[in-house]
Amino acid sequence: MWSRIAYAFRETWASFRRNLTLTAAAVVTSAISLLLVGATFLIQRGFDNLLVRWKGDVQMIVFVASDAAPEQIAYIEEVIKSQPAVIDLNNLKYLDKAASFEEAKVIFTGDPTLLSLLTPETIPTQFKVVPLTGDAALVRSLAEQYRGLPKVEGVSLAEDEFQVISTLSGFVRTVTIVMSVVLLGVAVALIWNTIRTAMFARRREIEVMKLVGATNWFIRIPFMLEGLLQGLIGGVASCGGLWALNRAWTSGVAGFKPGTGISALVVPGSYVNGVMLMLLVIGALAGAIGSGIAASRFLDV
Amino acid sequence: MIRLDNVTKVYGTDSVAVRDVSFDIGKGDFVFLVGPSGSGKSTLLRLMNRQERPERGDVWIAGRNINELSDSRVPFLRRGMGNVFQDYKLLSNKTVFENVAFALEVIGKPRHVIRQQVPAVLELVGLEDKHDRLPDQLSGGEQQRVSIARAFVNRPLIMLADEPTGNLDPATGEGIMQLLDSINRSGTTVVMATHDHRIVNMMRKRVIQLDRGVLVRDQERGVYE
Ligand SMILES: Nc1ncnc2c1ncn2[C@@H]1O[C@H](COP(=O)(O)OP(=O)(O)O)[C@@H](O)[C@H]1O
Ligand SMILES: [Mg+2]
Repeated sequence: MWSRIAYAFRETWASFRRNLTLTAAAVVTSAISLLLVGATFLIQRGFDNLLVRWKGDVQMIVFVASDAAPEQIAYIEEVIKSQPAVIDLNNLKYLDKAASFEEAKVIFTGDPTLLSLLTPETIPTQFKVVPLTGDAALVRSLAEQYRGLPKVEGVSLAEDEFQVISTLSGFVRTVTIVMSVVLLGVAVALIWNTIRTAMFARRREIEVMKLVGATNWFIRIPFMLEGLLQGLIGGVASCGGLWALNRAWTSGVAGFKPGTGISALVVPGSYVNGVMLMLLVIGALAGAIGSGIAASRFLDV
Repeated sequence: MIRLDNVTKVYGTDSVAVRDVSFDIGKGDFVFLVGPSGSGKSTLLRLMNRQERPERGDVWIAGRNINELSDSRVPFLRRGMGNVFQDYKLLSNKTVFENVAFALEVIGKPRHVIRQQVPAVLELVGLEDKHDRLPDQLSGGEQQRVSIARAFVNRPLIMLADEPTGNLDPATGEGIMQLLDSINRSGTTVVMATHDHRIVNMMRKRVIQLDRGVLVRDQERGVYE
């Protein structure tokens, strides 16, 4: 067993050194593509933070003052429900103080000043309204009506806040996903190519190995290890890049005036760590699987 | 030990390398495959260790039809067979010792087995004082001895030799033949392809002769005609 492991690592290392240029190209490409994958996730998460209160076709939010009595809340609900033809009653949701506070924590991650002013006691509660009608004027007139109710602090319309961001988010998502998929493909192609070159350099050895009865797995594993290592090194580099990028972004956002909403674009550190772990796994898997397939393909030559 | 039943091998669509060949080689036999260049000798050897598969017919090794063997079992078939070639197929960046050890290493033999078996087989082929030489520091005959040592180190039941004396002068070739003969005497079945008349006539072993892929003669204690 030990001799097999030692053998695999010795061969991997020798091959790495032999194909330094190709290896470097594969590592750099996989680093860049993985960085892009990571950035896609962070950007998306930022947009999700912005959009979290509008999830599920919510078009209107009625904010209720935190000191409203239960009967007053019930009255508001009654008014909203009085128009079942216009409002989807099945999807009408009420977020109490605790739920509203949880949501605010997501939205204001990057704005600790504002967040510290909020407490579960003082936060307004919310009705999330999903209209059945597509008639914007009608929805707007409803909003006007709700604004006049006692203890309603305000009514926000998706139209005003959400549409631009939503469109932007969709566009950015498409662009970054397409780019990262393309680059990841290039990275796998480069790893594939280094493995092919490595196998060509060792074709005499492979021929002898097959003749004396080495299994295909035995022959393949050093090459898979090589691909895995390339992907993993690419992954580590991309993590470094992502970390730096996120740091620059977070401190840049901190420079904005509080309360502009931009602060929602800050992503919590735990999420960044999760994404970095994912990049390492993707890098290692893509490298190992890509080179494993390449090795199988060229094992017959 | 080795049996071919009506074996036909076609390369491409119409290049018939071996046509309807049948023979049976017993355990411990020594057999020459003879015939002019291109008559199908190498193809027959490659059919015996599943480097090729026949279009028709069956190849039996030690009682098993190897054409029905799954790809993942083929390495284990080959561990019971040694291969020797005209061009030695040694790894030029490895020493004599390492070349032989390689064959055990890649089938997962532990180091203490390697340390014990490699010197023993190198002594058997008469290279006990050349462990640390590289192949290009050896004569042709010595290189072929290394390749025989590599083929034999795992004590295979069968040795397949494809023109092992083809690159050697007559005296050196004779030495290699004595080595193969002594391996055969230890119980290993040897099949050797050659078109070297002198060697076939000297050894007086069973001769299977091919002509354009067809078996034309199978004779005990034969000579090269
Ligand atoms: N890989 C191959 N592809 C196509 N034709 C081949 C191949 N190997 C051998 N042949 C053909 O098969 C015939 C027998 O070849 P071979 O078995 O090498 O003969 P020998 O070893 O007796 O010289 C020849 O006509 C040769 O050209
Ligand atoms: Mg030949």
